[in-house]
Amino acid sequence: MAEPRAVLLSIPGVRALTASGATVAAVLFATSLSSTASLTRPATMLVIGAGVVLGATWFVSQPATIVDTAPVATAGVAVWVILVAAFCGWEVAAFALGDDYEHPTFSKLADPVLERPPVRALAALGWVAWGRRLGALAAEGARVREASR
Amino acid sequence: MTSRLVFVIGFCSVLVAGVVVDLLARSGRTALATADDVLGLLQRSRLGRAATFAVWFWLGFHFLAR
Repeated sequence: MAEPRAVLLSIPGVRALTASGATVAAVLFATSLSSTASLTRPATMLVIGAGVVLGATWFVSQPATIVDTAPVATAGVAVWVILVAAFCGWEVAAFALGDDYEHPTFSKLADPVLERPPVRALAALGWVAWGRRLGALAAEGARVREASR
Repeated sequence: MTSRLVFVIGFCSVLVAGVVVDLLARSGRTALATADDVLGLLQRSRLGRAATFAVWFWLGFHFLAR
């Protein structure tokens, strides 16, 4: 039997309406956030709100169809592990050396840039878009699990 | 070369390397995995999905709200 979500999305116009609604919401979120400063209650509430909404869609995303994904090579994953470890190592080194002007962490370098409203808006859009992409990947993972049962 | 420049170059190098690895993986001519492949793999388990969500949320909170 088809899932309710799949049936809903098969109605003409619903998918387009959902996608446009999400885009409008993301743009509204980004523009609202760009008008707030870091370390303020409005900024915190906006980010928490977006996190809760995206998190909810992330965790309730159900498989629509079974998709077979190719296995990922261990060596391919290892390269990413090395890159993440290198980034974390660099961050820890900067922090251990004082996290000051001469030894800045990534946050210290990014904060002045993210204070500018246009950059802040773009970063907010990027964060939301990445969250949606991760949610889609999670749904794909769910489909693979369903297929392997 | 100042210490600050060394740190900036270090962070930029890792970020650029990530972009290069992803582009190479998408070309299909190497055994490398795309970022999507790895993040999809991580989220095949409930724990991995929760961890990925936590990292994503923390990054937004840290850089945009904090």
